Amino acid sequence: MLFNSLTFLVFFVAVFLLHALIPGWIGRKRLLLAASYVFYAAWNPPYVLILAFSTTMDWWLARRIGQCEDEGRRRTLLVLSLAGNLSLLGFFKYGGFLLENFQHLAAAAGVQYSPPAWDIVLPVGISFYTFASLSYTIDVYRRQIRSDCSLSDYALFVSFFPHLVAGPIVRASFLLPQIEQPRSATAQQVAWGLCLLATGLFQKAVLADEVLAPVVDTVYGNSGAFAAPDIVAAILAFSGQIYYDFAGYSLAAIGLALCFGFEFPDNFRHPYAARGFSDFWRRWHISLSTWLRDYLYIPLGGNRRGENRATVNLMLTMLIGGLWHGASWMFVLWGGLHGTYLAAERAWRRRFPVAEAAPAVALSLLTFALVSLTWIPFRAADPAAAWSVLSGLWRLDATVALDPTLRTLGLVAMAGTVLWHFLLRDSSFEARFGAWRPVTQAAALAICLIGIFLVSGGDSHAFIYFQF
Amino acid sequence: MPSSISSSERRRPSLLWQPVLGGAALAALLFVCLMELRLGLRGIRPTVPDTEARWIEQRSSAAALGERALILVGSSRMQVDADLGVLRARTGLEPVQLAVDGSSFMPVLEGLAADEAVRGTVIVDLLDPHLTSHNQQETAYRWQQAYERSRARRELPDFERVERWLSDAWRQRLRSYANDTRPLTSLRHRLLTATQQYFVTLSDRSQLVDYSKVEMPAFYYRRALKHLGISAPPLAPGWTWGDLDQLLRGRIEQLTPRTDAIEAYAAAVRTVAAQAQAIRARGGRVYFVALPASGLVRLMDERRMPRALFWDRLAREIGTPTLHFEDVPALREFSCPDGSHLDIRQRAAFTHALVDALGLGTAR
Repeated sequence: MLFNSLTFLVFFVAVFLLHALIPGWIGRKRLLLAASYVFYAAWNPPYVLILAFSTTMDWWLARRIGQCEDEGRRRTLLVLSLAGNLSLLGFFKYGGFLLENFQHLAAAAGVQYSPPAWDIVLPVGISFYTFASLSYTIDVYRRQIRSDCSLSDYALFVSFFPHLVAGPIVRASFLLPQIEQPRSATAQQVAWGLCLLATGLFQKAVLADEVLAPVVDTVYGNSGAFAAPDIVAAILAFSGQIYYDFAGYSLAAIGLALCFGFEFPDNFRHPYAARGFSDFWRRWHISLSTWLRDYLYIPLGGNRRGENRATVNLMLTMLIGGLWHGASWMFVLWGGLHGTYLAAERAWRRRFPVAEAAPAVALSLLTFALVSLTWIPFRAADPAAAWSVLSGLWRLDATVALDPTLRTLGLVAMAGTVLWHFLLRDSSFEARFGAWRPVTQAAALAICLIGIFLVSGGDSHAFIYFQF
Repeated sequence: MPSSISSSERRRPSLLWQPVLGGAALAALLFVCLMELRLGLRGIRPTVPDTEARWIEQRSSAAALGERALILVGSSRMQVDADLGVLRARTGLEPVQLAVDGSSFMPVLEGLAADEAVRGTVIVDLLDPHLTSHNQQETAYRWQQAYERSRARRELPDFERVERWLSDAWRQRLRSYANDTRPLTSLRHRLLTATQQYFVTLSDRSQLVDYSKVEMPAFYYRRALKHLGISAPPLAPGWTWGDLDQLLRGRIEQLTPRTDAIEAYAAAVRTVAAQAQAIRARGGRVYFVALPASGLVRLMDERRMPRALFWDRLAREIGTPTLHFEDVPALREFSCPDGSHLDIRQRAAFTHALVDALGLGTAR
């Protein structure tokens, strides 16, 4: 069920009204739990069993970890949780990829191996809810949170529909206390939640799908035929498309949760105004980058074991972060490039601490340019397609050209996006919106609603991050 | 909590939420209403999206109605030319529109033949090229497959089906979505420029085409060019419609009959004959008809697939009644304004004449 669908609108209104009508907190939580499972089942009913299995397993294991004092046994239970979750993720998401690579390896060694056809459907959102669920068992193991929550509260934490299929990756330490405490949304929360929902859907439906996606799809679909200006437009447009697609979803999710009185963490903070790559990763998909930092990079040793080890840890973290996005070497390459940039930046800053004083705008633009170029392997289907786009940056002759209106719209949207990020770099959308007069706020919201209406009725594009 | 995770709570702006949300909702509603009003003043009517779900619904009726069904199969000509009200009144049967715009009748007829529940009267709008060239990408094939899947197992009301139902219900009530367009397209092409709505899809899947709302003869020649597969005719500056007509006639003269397709056509005729026979064996009736075409379009059809080599052979071998519009004076009189379809003002008279020609009428 997509947020930008009529079915979801009906679903949300029904759940919201029922939630408001039910007087008790326990009843409300059960309603939200049931609604979340219906939300997930709308995509593929049998797969709710995987969600239920993963939830019950982690709840039970965490409970045992919490009750146990023996360190060895606690570690064994944690390993069981990690193995269970990562096995599910590995089987559904990476099974076909592993088989395919094994086949290539075997062929390289002169062994013919034909794997069985792998036609298992990836459970939507499995990467998100696996990471959310893992945060619970790991935090319980670290004695950072209690393990005595009820199964139904835990199930609601994992499956709460605003974050279930595409994040933000909300941690147990963040959401469980909110679930345990009776709460009802204030008028202010609902109002701001609806504002975020409208803004998020506008970003997705109008900016990502209507303005930028046509530029990207046209050029990436036949990249060898376009000349440099169109290739540049497509590269920039994809930077915008992926941002508005995912940031739009995150905003909508935060807004939806707020309508029920729940706070979610921010997931994006004007990333295209980042000064350097460490700054970029503090602003882009924050819930994933901080998850990887806290549950992977730091446990690997972080930067506590010398520079070389820190670089290795950084690369490992980013490679795994890339692979998290999908079972493809292209995502690994994308993660590897970011790992390289982070390591290079780290070395550069160590050697030239004065680089901090480099012109901020130049640094931001350089970061944006490199981030945009690095989206090429993320978007391209294979290395040949990626190379075709990259080499197009020097191509002067073209057999086809982008529709000038399409290109201009895409470029203007991206110029506006970068400018907006620069202006709000050290501020926030909330602060800017709050500073406007009520009439300006209403006008901005009306533009979002009218924009969503105008582009409605076509094929609804799924959110890009659903596939991850 | 890690320091870098922040909640949006701390920075949530304090809103005068009633005027802000109310004002925004009111402004958006006002925009939609004004747009609907302006479209209404321009003569735009809401239309029904011609979707897979609607076709499946009709296809289910074809089986459920048994011998009372009058099943119409074919492509856009059947959707545009046949008046279902006239058919219902004249035949006493319940018309079911299964024609699919731009698609071959073959997958639909195959499905009807294989369905034991289909025992009604079937009228097939047969275009010769559809016997030799159809593929699994065609809409008719996909819809037939979807119907068979839905019949094979009771499906839960999944997201896609609920969304289709809601979307149809919403879109068929607003002018902004008329003719499967989006409001943005309506705004650009129907409000900011004065493009008129010349066809409307009804809930029974019929289509009404009003050629008085299009620019003639430009529309007619566009159809002819499309039929001939030419996108940009090589015309000198200052050309006239007469020049274009001459150019197209010259091109048509150069077309050669598709003798290479005769064998495939004959094989398809045998297949189709067997399918018709299957329906007849259950007590049903099957008629193959060639609906009117005119002008350059008809000329092209005749050059490519001459009657003598194709249709007449089918009529001899198919073993079930056939009717070519050129053989019936009352049908021959109808001229298609775009070369391929009849106008809204012709369809009732044409349907009466068709019922008479097929001998299906029980009353007038």
